[in-house]
Amino acid sequence: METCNSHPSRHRIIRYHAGDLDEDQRVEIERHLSECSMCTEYFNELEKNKETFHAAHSRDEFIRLIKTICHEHQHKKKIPKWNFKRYSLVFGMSAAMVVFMVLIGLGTRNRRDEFHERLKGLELALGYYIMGAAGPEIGLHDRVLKPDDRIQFHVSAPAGGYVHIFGVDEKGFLSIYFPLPHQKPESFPGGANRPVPGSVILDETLGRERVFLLICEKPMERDQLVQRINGLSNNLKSLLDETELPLACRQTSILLAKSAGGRR
Amino acid sequence: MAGFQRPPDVSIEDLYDCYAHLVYRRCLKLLGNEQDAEDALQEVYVRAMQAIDKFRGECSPMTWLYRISTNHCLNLIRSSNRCFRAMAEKKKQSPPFGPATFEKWEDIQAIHRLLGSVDKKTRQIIVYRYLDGMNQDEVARHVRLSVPTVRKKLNKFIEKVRQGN
Repeated sequence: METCNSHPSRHRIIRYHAGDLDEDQRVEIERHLSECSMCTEYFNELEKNKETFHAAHSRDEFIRLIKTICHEHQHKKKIPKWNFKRYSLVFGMSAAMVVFMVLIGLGTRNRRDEFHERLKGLELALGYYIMGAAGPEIGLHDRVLKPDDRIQFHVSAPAGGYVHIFGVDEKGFLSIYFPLPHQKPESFPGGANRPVPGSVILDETLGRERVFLLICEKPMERDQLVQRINGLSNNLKSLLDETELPLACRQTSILLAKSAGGRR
Repeated sequence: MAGFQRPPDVSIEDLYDCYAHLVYRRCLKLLGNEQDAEDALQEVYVRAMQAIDKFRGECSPMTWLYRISTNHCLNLIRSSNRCFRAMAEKKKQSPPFGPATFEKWEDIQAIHRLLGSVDKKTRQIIVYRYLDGMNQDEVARHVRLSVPTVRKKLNKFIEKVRQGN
């Protein structure tokens, strides 16, 4: 064995040592090693390194450790941790928005439910729209009303009662109508299935208005009446937006008639 | 000495038996101490096992492991260089490095310093050329560059070392 002038690279000897070469290359390296003492020395050094390494390291322990770590990494990947700190602002805003929307929804629903619940008994009936300056407007029963028109009505409440008339304009302001002088003040007595005559003249100074008939069990003073009306809805303007009121009106069997040129 | 099995048969046991000592040896040479080399060996095998499904057998498992270990160790060296530079700057003194002799790979700190001064591809070329003892053809295959490009980068690096020393 002697030293050659042309050597394979050390990396090639390493690959030979690791069994990483194909058949032809392996034969070539083996031939060279049989002739070259320097490369053989390097190969022996590799062998020695391998023995030392395997003597100092436990194969099974190493493999078990690697598998454990890989398993843990895999498990961690399956359950991604949310970065709550990073997304805290988004989470907070989203939660606040959800709570806000739920509260609004509940509030609206509660208010509307309460309003309709109160309507169920007998309380409220719908009157007419009138238009102050812009001309007449069609009322509930397709009757054209004008300012200063006098409304005559007959009320037949299921359980009898007294009728009060009030209007709510488009801004939500309340106005209370009182009977004509020749009628009983402040209220219209009625009875079960017995029409109660009455009349009222609309007020053109209030502008567009929706007139309601409030049927009560007993006659009320003005302050009581205001309190009662306010109790129907916290926001009187919302009465104008109620689309289901015409149905309530029909249920109370109000008969409305018009008499032009009536006096106030 | 049996040839390595086909890629579908690659298992951690095979990888350990055939290559663990080689990976450990080069990690030791790159990082300079046994504890770091042990940790690096473990990290290399963890990464290999995590990516073993993606290993398509386009190169030998040894080349694949060498690539993983090279990247990992060079990243560690880069991090330690950063730390060292920050400490040296804080103390207002230059790092106490002596001249590097790459052919022997003996002054690990000087080597780290020099590796930190070149780009990533050149770092890999230096490691394959001077640490693993590859010839330029083998280096070119490992770093997926042409042989002239590898030669050019090596010459540029050697010139830089000479000027620095």
